[in-house]
Amino acid sequence: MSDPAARTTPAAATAAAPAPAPAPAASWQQSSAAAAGSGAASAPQASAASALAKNAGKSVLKASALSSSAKRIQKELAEISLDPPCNLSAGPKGDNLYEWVSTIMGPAGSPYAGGVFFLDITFPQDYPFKPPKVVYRTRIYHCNINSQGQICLDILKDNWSPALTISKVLLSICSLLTDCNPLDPLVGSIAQQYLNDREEHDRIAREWTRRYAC
Amino acid sequence: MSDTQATTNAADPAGGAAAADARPSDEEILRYERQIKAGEMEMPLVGDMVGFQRLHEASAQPEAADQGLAGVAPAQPKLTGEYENGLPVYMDKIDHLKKTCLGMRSVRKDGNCFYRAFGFRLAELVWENRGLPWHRAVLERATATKALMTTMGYDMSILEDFWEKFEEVLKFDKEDRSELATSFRTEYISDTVVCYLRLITAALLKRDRDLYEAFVLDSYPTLESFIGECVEPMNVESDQIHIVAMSNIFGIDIRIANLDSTRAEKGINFHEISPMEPMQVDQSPIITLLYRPGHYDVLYPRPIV
Repeated sequence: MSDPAARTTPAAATAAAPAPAPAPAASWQQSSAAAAGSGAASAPQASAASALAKNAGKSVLKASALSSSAKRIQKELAEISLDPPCNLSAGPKGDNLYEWVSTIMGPAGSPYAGGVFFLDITFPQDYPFKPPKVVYRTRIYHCNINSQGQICLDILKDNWSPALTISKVLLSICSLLTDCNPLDPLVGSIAQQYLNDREEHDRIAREWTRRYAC
Repeated sequence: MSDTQATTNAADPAGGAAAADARPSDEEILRYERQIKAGEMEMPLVGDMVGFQRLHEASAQPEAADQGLAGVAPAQPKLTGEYENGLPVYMDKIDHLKKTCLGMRSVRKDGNCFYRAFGFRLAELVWENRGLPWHRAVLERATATKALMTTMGYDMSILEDFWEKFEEVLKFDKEDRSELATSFRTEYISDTVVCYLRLITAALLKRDRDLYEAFVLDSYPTLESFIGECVEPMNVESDQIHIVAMSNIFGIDIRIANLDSTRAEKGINFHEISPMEPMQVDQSPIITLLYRPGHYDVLYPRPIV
């Protein structure tokens, strides 16, 4: 079976991606390290909050919800920096507290092992009442993740709860790499293949991991 | 094999389009649903208390009342209006409500109505009973939920805000009670309280798993999946199990007037939910709610003399 997408060269695939290419790992690690430091953390909050407050107009209510969302994101950042879950990391991209980037290491024993996957995280202004938006920036062959990097995961949609944190979301995304959910697929053809020809599915997934995520 | 499937899938939408003449298209249904939801979103999260007498009059000109809603005024529930052409059983029940209740307070129909109605009425009762033993007892029970949450694995450092807002409305001490409604109309405060009540429900279900699990296992594979789908997320409607949990956490009786088409023996039938560990204090108030299929509002029964 030849999959047209599998023939695409890595360069072409990156160019076709809707978002700009992921920031080089080195510069992201820098900003993540800076954000993890206690001193640097409050400045991004203030600037992000004030920028968003302008958009929110004159509504005082929105502003209070905004400062509480910033406070919450701040807490989650502190937590994920102090006690990062294994195989993943996450932190603000730059000085906007609402825009994060995350890396996930492909779990050992899965066809994604050895790969490093970049994800973009966007927190809505009314976080945590609305879920964060999480998309893969690295191409991946997976029945619950489409070519735009969108992820089909219940807790990112209907089952989102303010009790969840970005850390729990990322862990769920990680476990989706070990156990995909072919019965609720986003890419039907990959799900069919997973169910009918697991060996070929895993071969292509490994191939994509080597090509795009190593 | 995958080819055959692709053909079938491609043919399907065409078949659907041909049949669309007879019934509304999916697109039309979705548009209608969005329209209803958008209309509901203009309603205040918690309305003013209105008497049934006024409801009755308002129902004489439902359209005028509708227009009044658009901007400022809190929703004017048109209970009689809604049931104007309904079965006599509804009219009988509404008449009975008028005789036995001072009025009702409507809550937005956004899937959070039970928790919002319960939370509001609880805070209002705490305020009405300030200085009395029951007031202290409720605050103690409420404070104990923090430990319950921590024990059941919720990270209170992340959820601190949720507790704080709930504590704030329970400790409301202004002279003007209308300010409590104002708090519950403020989306952030109101939703935070609803969320905290949802989370302590989840924590209680987990702690007393033996008691609750059997009620959900015929529809959900695990108690956790039920909690993940039906308790913790916002905007998901509540059921008996949520109500029982609230009653048990706060040690309070909940009476629910059932305004549906079932024939009632006497006026209107009530579901009565009593806590397993009631408060050991005199004059414990009761929370009374009005249930119409899919929705809860606050009901104010006349004091029994």
